[in-house]
Amino acid sequence: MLWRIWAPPQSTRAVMQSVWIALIPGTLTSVWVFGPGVLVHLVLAGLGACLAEVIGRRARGLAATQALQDGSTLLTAWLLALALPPAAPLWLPFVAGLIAIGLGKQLYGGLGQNPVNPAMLAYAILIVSAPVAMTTGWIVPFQGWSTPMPLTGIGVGAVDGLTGATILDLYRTEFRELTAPEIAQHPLFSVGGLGIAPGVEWVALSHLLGGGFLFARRVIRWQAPVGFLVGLLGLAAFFAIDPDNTVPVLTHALAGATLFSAFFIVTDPVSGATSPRGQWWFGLGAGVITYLIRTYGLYPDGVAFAVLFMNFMVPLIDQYTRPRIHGESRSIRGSVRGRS
Amino acid sequence: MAECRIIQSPRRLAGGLQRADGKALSLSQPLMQMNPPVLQLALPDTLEDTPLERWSIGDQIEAGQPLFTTQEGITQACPRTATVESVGTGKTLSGSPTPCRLLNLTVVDPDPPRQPSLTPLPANPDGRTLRQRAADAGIVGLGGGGFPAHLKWQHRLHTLIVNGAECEPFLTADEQTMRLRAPAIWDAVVALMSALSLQRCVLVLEDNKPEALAALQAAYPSVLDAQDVCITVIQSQYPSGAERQLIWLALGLEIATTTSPVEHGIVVHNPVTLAALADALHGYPLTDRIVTVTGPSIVTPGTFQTPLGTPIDLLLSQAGGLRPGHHNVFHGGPYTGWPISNTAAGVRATTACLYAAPVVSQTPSPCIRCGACAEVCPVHLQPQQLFAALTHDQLDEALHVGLSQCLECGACDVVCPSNLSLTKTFQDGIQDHQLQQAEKQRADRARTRFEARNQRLLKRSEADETRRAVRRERSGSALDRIRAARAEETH
Repeated sequence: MLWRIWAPPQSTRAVMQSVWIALIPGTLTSVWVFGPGVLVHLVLAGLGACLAEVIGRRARGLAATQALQDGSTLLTAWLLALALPPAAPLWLPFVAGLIAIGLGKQLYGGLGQNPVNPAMLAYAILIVSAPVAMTTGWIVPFQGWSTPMPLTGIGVGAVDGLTGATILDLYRTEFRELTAPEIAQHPLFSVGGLGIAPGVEWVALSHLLGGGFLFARRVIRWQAPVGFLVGLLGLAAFFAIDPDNTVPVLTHALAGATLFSAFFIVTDPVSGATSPRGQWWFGLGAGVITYLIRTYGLYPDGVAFAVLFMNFMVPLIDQYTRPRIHGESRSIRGSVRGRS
Repeated sequence: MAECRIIQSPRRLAGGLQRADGKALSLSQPLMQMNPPVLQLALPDTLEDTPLERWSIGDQIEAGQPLFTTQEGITQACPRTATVESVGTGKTLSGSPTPCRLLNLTVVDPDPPRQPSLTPLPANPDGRTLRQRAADAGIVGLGGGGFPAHLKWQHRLHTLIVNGAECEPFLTADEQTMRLRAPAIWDAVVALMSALSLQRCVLVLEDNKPEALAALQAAYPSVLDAQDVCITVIQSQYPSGAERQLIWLALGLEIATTTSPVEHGIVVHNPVTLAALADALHGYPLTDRIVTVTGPSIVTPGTFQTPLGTPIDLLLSQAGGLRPGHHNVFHGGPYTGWPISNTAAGVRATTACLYAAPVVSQTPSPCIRCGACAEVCPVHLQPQQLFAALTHDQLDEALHVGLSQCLECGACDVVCPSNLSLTKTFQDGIQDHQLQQAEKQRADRARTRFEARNQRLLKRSEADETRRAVRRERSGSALDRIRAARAEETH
């Protein structure tokens, strides 16, 4: 045909399943880098999420059997499992699943009604309430298969080499005494890989692959991911005029949750802006705030807070990015026409 | 040999649907003439007298004889010579709760009228004559709108657009008419251009109708050579044939829904309407229309020249009937059609298509704001936002984000992965809004009346007061006089 045919997945379930498929490469790479704990987390987060979904639906007087049919609950759990530290205590993913679906979704009326991203809400609540469990569970890349899974969280971080900081953590703590090139000499960079963000970079690139798949299937648009990357990396590139005291742009791109968030978090249609132009601003805002939190904030990675903040901005963004209706003059967009 | 200019439209609809068009289904058969033994005509609600005052059972009505005239001045002619079988009330096509008055006829002579029942007009009639003729011949928009043609010509007009887009899948009535009746269409164009002193005419076609294009080109009259007339070919895309979308594609003008195209001097007519107008010029009122009977559930889909009032059942059986199973029959096409609940009812002037498809039950799931609907919306609405507002009873918010601009084209329903009935929700919302407006108007009128009454009462009581005061004064002075007189007497 002369132009593209709109051929999206034909049902909500198919949309969710497309995202599942897109998450597979990143998940497999995570397992390779961080060990089987990722899969255990996936199961536990799934259990917590499903439990909350069933309870929530029961409480709302709906049939619990249909709860899991659309696949969105498991998707939220999956996103959470990938966002949590791989060696976090086992209660963490379960509680995260409960919070995400219980507080983040069912409380507002289920699928499509949540104002904020449920996975990011759970992440943010937990990083505030259980900061130790949420930050110390990072395994040194490629040692995941040789370290036993911690069951309770007690002793986590006690044994040197069992768990460690992420690359972004490392920069944050070492900048007090060292310059960026000196930090790059840290043994954590030499465990393998490209030397940008060891281990994590493979996971990030796998997510890029999954994101490409989602884009090709037209499940996501380019605006939100590109906006996010422009916001985050654009600021990083600008401040890279002082290379000694800033995290390198490539590290910003491949460490932490950058690419994962770009394709799977800021693209959430329910809690994000709804017009393509709005999605661009949404992504841009989330990227800028992520950079600010990473650089000046207390937390090593700020995607969760950035996305939550932008979620609350969505009504405003939607108001001012509404497409011009056919026949409507250009001046009245975003005005409060009709409300007098 | 006259040649018509053919222009490829440089514009294309943002949004819209690009789907298999299903038109070949009904075009594989030649046009067939329907000769129904009975007719059932719905009478307008606005008719003052009851049908029984007008006709008695057994009366013979000649083909072409006027049956009734609507408030808008449209006179409906009797489609065939027939006797009155019964008059009464019954169910409408859509099965709406308010019954309509029906005229049931038994056809005596199944052939279409051979003699013109109106006097043929001379060539190049003036505007007033043309308007009168269109009204007398019952010419309404046969594309599906049903709007009286002569009312559109009351405005000062400069451009005629012939809407041959027929963008909705499966519909072929316009295409068949353009193939078979191209000379009549041009005749009507010639008459309209001279009578209304139009400056230009654009005939718009989608690029999936090469045969219609060839027929129109072959029939192009040399009379139009001196005029600004062209055929514009647009890309096939639903809903390019919606009035404002078509004007934009043809002329590049955006017309807001707050104004009507005729106010801007642009009149849009369907080719079927123009062919009927050409017949009317020759003295034949509107008695028949072309109906496409099609859809996956029809055994032998085709196009039918159908007298108005032909029972839908009869038309369906003429097309081989429905396949076994559960089917819905729609009045109109697959996207804009509405289900017919009473298939015994008769064909109307607006019945361009009967579309039958198997009943599919789709359970809706919640909206996930994926935005697929916004991508296909031809007016760039955000159906997801409208839907959210309407399902939360926020009619004001829905109006704010453009509810009243909705074309009700149904493109969003087609792509929605959650199977939501978006268009239905919007139609309900628009209806609620209209009810509210009417209610508000009534309340406003009542308030004005109430205030006027208060004013009147106040004025009257003031007038009474002054009159009383005057009387009191007068009677007071009378008493004084009496007292004075008595006082004099006693002295």
